This record gives sequence, C-alpha cells and structure tokens, in this order.
Amino acid sequence: MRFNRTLRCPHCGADVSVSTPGAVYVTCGHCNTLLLRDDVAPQDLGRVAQPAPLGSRFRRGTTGVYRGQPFVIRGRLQLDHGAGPWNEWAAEREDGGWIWIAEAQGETMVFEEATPTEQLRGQLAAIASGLPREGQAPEKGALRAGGVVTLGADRWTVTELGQGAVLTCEGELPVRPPVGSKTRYIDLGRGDRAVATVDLTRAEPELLLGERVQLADLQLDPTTEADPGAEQVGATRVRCPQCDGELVIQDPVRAVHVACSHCHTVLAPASDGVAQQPGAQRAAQSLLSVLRAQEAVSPRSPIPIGAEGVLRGEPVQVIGALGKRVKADGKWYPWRELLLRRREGGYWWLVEAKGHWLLARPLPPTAVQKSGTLAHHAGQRFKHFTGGAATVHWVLGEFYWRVQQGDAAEVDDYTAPELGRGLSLERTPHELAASTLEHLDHSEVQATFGLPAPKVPRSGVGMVQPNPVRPREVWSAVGVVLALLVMLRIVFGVLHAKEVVYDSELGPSPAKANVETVDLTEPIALRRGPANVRVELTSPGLSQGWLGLSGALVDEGTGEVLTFATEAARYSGVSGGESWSEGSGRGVTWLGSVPAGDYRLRLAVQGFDSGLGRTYRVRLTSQVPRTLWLFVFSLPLLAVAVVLSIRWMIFESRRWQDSDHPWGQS
Amino acid sequence: MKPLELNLARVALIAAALFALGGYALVEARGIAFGGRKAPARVTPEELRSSSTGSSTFIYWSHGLRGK
Repeated sequence: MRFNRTLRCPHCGADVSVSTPGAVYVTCGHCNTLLLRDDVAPQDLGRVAQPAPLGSRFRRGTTGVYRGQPFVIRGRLQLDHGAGPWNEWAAEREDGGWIWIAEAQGETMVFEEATPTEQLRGQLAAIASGLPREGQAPEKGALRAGGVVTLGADRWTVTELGQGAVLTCEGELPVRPPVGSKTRYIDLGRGDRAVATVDLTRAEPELLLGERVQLADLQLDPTTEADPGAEQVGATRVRCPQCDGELVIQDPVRAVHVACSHCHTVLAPASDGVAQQPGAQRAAQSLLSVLRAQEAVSPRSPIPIGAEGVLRGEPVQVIGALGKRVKADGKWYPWRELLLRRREGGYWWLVEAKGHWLLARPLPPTAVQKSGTLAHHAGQRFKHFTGGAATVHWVLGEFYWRVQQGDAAEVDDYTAPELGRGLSLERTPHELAASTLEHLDHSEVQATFGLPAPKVPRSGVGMVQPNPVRPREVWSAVGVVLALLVMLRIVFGVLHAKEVVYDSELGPSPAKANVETVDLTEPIALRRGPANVRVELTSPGLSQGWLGLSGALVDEGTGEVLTFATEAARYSGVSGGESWSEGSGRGVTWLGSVPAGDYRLRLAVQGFDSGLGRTYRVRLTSQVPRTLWLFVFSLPLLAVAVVLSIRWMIFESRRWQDSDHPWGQS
Repeated sequence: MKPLELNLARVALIAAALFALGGYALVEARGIAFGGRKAPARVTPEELRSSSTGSSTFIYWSHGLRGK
C-alpha cells in the first residue's frame, strides 16, 4: 500500500506531505521549517535556508537503480567544507534502506552507512584520536593526508582531513540533519573507485562507505531528472570594496575567494567562513569584504578571465588564474594555472609553463600508485619529472576554495611523453590531490579561446609534449619492412632457376707468366632472361699462386659481347713473426641482365706462381638470388631510422634538461 | 609537436621503405648486376672462333680500339 501522510506545518500552517514511513525529518516547502514527524503533531525544529542553486540532475522524486535496487530521492543536505557547497541527496531504496548520493566538483559518489561492529568502532575511535587539533598542522605521529588507516580488513589512504558544515536541507530525511553545526571528517580512498568518509559530527564517529560512479551507472529515469541548466545562477556584477572597480563573478554560488582584476585585492563574501548563509544571499555575492592585499605582484593571466570556448569537446570558461612557482638551486621556476569551469559541472585546469600548455583534469589521488621514481595509473607508467614545494605567487579571478598568496603544497609531476600525458600529485598536510596532464598545442588553446598570436614565447620542450619521433613505431615499421624483404628473398630463392648453364674443368693454364690460353665453348643456352649470370673460377688446392680469367659471353643471335674478368688467388706466409694469408682460391663475378638466348663463351686464362700449369674449373649459373641486394636496399631504411632515433634522443635530452633528472647526470 | 616535422619523418620512412622493397624486387626480377661490360662492337661466332690473344678482332670488341 502506498504511504502518504500530510502534516500541517506548525510555523506557517501549510500542508507538508510525507511519502515514506522512513522519513523522520521533513522540511516545509513553504517556509523552510525543519519538522520532526510525529504521529500527534510535527515538532518545529527551526527554519533552515533555501538550498543554493547548484545545477544538478537530481531533484526530489528522481528515480533510478543502483546495484540492482530501485531508489527514489526524498531529500537533500547541502554542505560546505570551504570548497564551495555541494549536495548530498538522500535516496530511499525499494528495500527501505537509504543511500546518499554526493555531488562535488563534477563527481558523483554513492555512500551507505556502514554497520558498526565492535572492531570497526575501535578502529574508528583510534582514527579519530589521531586527528590533528582543529585548524593546526598535524604533529609528528598524527594522522595526515597520505597516511594509511585500516578499517575492517581493508587499508585505506587518507585523502583529506577537513571540516565543514551542513548549510541547509530540504525534503524528507531519515536522520536529523545537523544544520548549522560544524563537522570534522576524514575522507579515505582506495583505488580509483572506492571512497569512505569518517564523519565526526556526532559523539561517536560514523563511517560511510561508497564509490565513485558515473551518472549512467545510476540508470536515472529521464522523466524524473532535473535540468541542471535551469537551476544555475548566471554571472553577477559587483563593485570591489577596495578600488570600486567593477567585477564580474561568473559562478557566484561557488566563488569563495575573488581577486580583483583591477587592484588585485583578495576579496571574500561578507560573512566568509563555513558559511551558513541562505542560498539566495550566497548566490548574489553582493557583499564582498576585503580579505588581504597581494604583495609586490603583477598578476597577468595568459587568457582573459571570463573567456569561453570548447576544449576537447566540452564548453569551458576561464574563471581564475594562479601564478605558482617552485624554488630549486636558488632559482624560482614560475608557471601559471588557469581554473576552467566546465558547463557539465566540475573544473579543469590549463597550465602554462615556458609557453607550453597542459590540460589538467582531476583524478582520484588513490588511483595513482607510486614506487620510487615511477607512478602507475590505469596500467600506464609515468616517470618522475620534477618535484618540490610549490607556492602560490599571485591570484586573479574567482576560486571555489580559499586560495591566497603564499599557499604551499608539495608537488610531484610525472611524465609519459610517449603517451603525451602526465600526472601531477599535490600534497598538503590536510589534502591529497591528483590530476592527469595532457599536452595542448598552442594553436588548440588559441582556437579554443579565440586568442591572437602567442603572447608567450615557447622555449625548450614541454614536460609531456609528444616527441615528433616515436622510435618504437619507427623501429617496428623498419622491422616489418625488413621482414618483407626477407620474405621477398625467400620468394626469389624459390622462383629463381639457379640453373648451371656451363660447368667444365679446363686447363692446364699456361706454363709461363704473361701468356694466355684461350678456350671457346660450345653454344650455351640461357633460357631465362633478362637474368643475372654468376661466373665462378676455382682451382682446387691452389696455394701460393694466382689464376686470372678474362672472359667474353657472345650472343650468337645478335653478336653482342659481354666481357668480364675474375681471378682466383691464395697466398700465405709469416711476416714479423705473424702468419698471414690472403685470397680464397676462388673468383666470382656477376653479369647483369643477360637476355635469354644462345651464347658462346670465350675464356682466356693466365697464371702466376703455382697458378702456372694448373687445371681450373669455370661454372656459369643463370638467375641466382643475391642476398647482397637485401642488405644494400636495407641500408637507406636503417639510415633513416637511425637519423630519426638520434632526433628523438636530442628532443628527449632537451625535455629532461628541465627536470630533476637531466640526461647524463646521475 | 610540429606537424610538418612529424610528416617529414613519416615521408622519409615511407620513402625509404618503398625504396627498399621496390628496389630489391626490381634488381632481383631484372637480374641487375654490376659485373661485366658490354663491348662496343658486335662479332660473329666465326670472328670469335678465329680471334686469339692479340688478334685485331679480339682487341676490337673487347677494348673498342680498332686497328690495334
């Protein structure tokens, strides 16, 4: 039977419907009063703010399926931990259980409260006791971001030690929302999907276990989905309280710090802090207070703040810029980071260093495994490039977190240039962050934001800039061609006749030096042509002697004559105590492209030393495959591959010159 | 990445590959070799039969020097 009750709001008298017996708390949709459902009369627990319009695909009544269980969204909490507000939607499953769907910075996560066991209670208490004091850096031995804790039998990495507040709530909820109270929490991660939160709002720590999901995983019923665009608040114009210059705030709901583009003063919403502001007031951002001036800097964004474009298929807008730098060997190495707001939700970064551009997309920090100077992610290997303490030098524009001059983080960058990708890992005592890096050509950035010619001259080689030469591909291609050449050689070896057209023992050679003996053969038939002819002169046992053959192959049909010469010699001896030998006793020469036909062979032989008065053998073989040509024609291919490999090495050497591990240095 | 440079590298590699495969196939199929030299004149088998070292006929077709 379908549950449906109507309560009368004790504050405004309006009807408040309750659609599930699992909802213990409910807010009045007319006056935003939080009510405790009671069978007799609802209790007024005070008014709450209207939620800020964050632009979500969820709303009360949205239905979907998670892990095979249908769910319906009953209500939501809106929280803030200093990085802009986010929604946590309370969804009731068909079996009566509740799950929480969190949306933050473009990510969707589904949580479920873990059943507390004795072991888990003990582990949670131990974790909570290791927390650093509120607002202070972790002391030695205290829990810090990057640390490892055990829950049940699983080991988790601490990704954030944070504090925040429940700003407001709406709809029907299974537990009392601690609206207005500050919370402390520990975010944990394992791999690229598993997440957990230890919530320290109440006296006893609570554990929520969950996972990152894609919206598609939730199989939302499109007829119940919300239109995120309809809810979003547009840009708003305000005056800088310091210089009275006009400022355009692109995302007034989420902007936490704004650096004036005129006087560079850092501003914050008038009641900054873990804001407990009504959503509407927060959205207006009409009241800004001066937080602090920036010292001795002249911020300059390489792309104007507010510029919009479509990057890698996604509409984005530049809303802020940071100047960062790291000191190494007494020298500052600066770069600039531009915050891109995605229309689809969440943020990307554009990083510019020495005229090279990178697109940074957030990544779960626990999805990266580090080992020595290597990092692994999604089965790919990245090499450490640079690392150090990066500090914020200047800020410009608006940000969803409290950023200011002097903020520091340990940064390690890794590269896999062959993929055109890299990884960036950032660590503070309270938070881990990771992002993937992709090389962007300046022309792509230029086209995206309609920029004029490059303002920043490019120097050196970018960290993940693809090498124009890919040696693996080059040598693979060379290997394929060499294999084809070998196959051709085998084919010619099979197809070529290798026909012996003349083979005769002749002689003896002249008995005196400088005298020729001449032989004229009977007609020889060359049936294949044009083809090569190999001429071999041998004299078995020739030692300390020389035989010279001058031949002529005469085409009986045309009278064309091909002359040739070869020699067989073999000498050896001892000179200066070392034995030597030269010659193989065999002479070979080749005749090229001999047409088919009938031929006669004229052979004139001379001898010297033991080559005088010797018998010798002459053999002619037609159409013989020559392996020599295989090597000859491979050479230019190998030469091109070697030149390209050298080009690759020069490029890589220039890239790694700017790293912590330059080539040629240990 | 400079596309032109990338293309040049590809073109050089493809050209070298075509040269290797085409050149090797051609010399094998045509039986090309660089030994042997075509004499500048023709002879009949009778002239050949009668030629001997130092004869004018032999010298003519083997060296192209008539009358020596």
